[in-house]
Amino acid sequence: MIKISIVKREFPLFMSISLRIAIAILGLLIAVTTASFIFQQDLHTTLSLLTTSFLNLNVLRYVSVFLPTALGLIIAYNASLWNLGAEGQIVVGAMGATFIALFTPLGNIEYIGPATSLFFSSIVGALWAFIPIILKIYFNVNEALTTLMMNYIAYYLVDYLVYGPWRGKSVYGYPETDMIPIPCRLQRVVGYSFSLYPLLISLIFIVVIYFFLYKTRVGISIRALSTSSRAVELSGISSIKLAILAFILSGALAGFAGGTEVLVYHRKLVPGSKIGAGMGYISIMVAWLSSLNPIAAIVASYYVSTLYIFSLAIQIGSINIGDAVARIVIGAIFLLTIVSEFISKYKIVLRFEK
Amino acid sequence: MIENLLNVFTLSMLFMVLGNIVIERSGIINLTIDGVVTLAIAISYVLMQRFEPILSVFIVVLLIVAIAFIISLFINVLHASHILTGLSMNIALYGLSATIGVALSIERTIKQVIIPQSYVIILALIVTFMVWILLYKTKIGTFIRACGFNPRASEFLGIKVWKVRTIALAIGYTLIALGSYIYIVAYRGAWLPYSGMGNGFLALALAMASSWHPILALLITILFVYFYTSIYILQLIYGMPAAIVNMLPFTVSIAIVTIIQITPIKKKLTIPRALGEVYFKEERAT
Repeated sequence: MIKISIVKREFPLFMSISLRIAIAILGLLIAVTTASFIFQQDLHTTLSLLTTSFLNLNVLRYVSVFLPTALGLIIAYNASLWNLGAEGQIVVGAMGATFIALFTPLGNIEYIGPATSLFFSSIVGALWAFIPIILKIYFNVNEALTTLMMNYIAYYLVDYLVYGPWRGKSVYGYPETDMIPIPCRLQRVVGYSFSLYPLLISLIFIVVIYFFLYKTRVGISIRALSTSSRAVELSGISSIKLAILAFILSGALAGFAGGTEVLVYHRKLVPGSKIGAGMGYISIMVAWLSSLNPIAAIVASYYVSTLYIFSLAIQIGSINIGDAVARIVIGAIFLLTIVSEFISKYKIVLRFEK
Repeated sequence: MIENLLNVFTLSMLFMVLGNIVIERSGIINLTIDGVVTLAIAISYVLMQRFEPILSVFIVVLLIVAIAFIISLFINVLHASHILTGLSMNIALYGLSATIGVALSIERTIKQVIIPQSYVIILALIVTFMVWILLYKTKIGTFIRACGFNPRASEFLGIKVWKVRTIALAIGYTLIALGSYIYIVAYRGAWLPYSGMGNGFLALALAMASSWHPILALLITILFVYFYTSIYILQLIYGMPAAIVNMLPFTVSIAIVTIIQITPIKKKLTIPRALGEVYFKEERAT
């Protein structure tokens, strides 16, 4: 009689890194073979399509959303708090940025306008994240479910604004606001749809968050919160304050990403599901793909953005299901990541008993 | 009047909500529901163009239960986080649903099955009652609720947590598949890529708003769908924006769960405390 049991193990760092890289390469192989199989292209064309996607600078348009959002989520997940609300926080962040840009005199001033917009969008995002964490800490309401629900509340809140009070005067009945004033827009790189400023700020965020999480007392306590909250309490730091801090930081970074979406890409407020476009959910997977490490986040976000661009590239061939195939591939890669997580944490032991 | 309160759409939502209740009572955060609903709708649409209604129900339920076993594999064997499993499965299943629907459909519409009003009411009452009996009066229901409340303690009492959670997933997804089938076959009748996306999360919110209790779920679902289907009337008479009505179930579900937690009702309406807990049973290594 064979008895199968699953036991924990410690995987060396080198091994888990190489496992992750193997998963990433396997994912690309799946992407290429599926694409060439379904669209009946030869493998060579698809491969060259993938290479051009890797080198296409428009990848940075997605990186500038995924990177800050995933960085914020990394803080929350390190504290083992399930923030699934990045999507909603991006959307309300966009709302905050539009408010400053369109409805306050600050929007017409150069430099100060975009800066205050982005700052305010982070504050709105942080406030949006503040509600579920308060409910979690004081009333013990599951934060994963509340943040998920609040995504939809954010969608409909923005829908209400663009269909109602904020609808622009010169948009011919489309559900969107007027364009934000020119001084408030962030300059795009010529020929592409991304701007360098948010990317530079995100790069600074990486360094800051790395030092915060690994070198400061508060950051280390946040990382310890998941495994030994008792020890954190005994070291004299309130675990309640830490949880709130981790959550509002993640909300603020997602809000920042939403703000840049308005200032760089859309340049007006559009209905909620178009601003978020599911990127908040993808960011959750980016955070886990990078094993909750802020420095690995840049690689993970670049990788996922490439898959995004690749999916757009293969869509041109057959418009109907290109997007759907891309989703299957991305989902399969994420499932593979989960399997790799299992391999690095557990092992299967077979025992032969008489 | 009764047609407004309990129509086919209410019935389909009720099935999904009840299925979700069975699953979440066993302690699984069931985010995969949205992807599965989208997939089940696409599969039913494709099947209805080829087979008789009864046969297509069987095939849909079988396929969706197979997916439930895959979810169980991830959650119970691979010990993956419920949330990550749910989100990744969702992305893949959305894609799969659109691919299946576009690639395999023959025509744009299907022959609708009309369920008479009296049947709708009887079906709604029966399914609610059955789920209530299952959860509160049978042995397996008690096991399911125990696993959702404290898996470690249940294991000590001799319950195999992975077995119970798998059974809960199978029962729950059977109900969810039936709900999706009713949605496309008896209510919508036509299909576009990603039809029904978001309905799963709506069911998740309604289940949470009814504090995972089947009889409250019946009331809450009826109430919400009444509001939802009368959006246009509300807009015309009271000038209520559609976005606000759409927002309601999500706001209300958060409010209700918070109220349950802060008031003494908490002792009567127990909510699954171990929701989302990955249960790992330590075993000997050699």
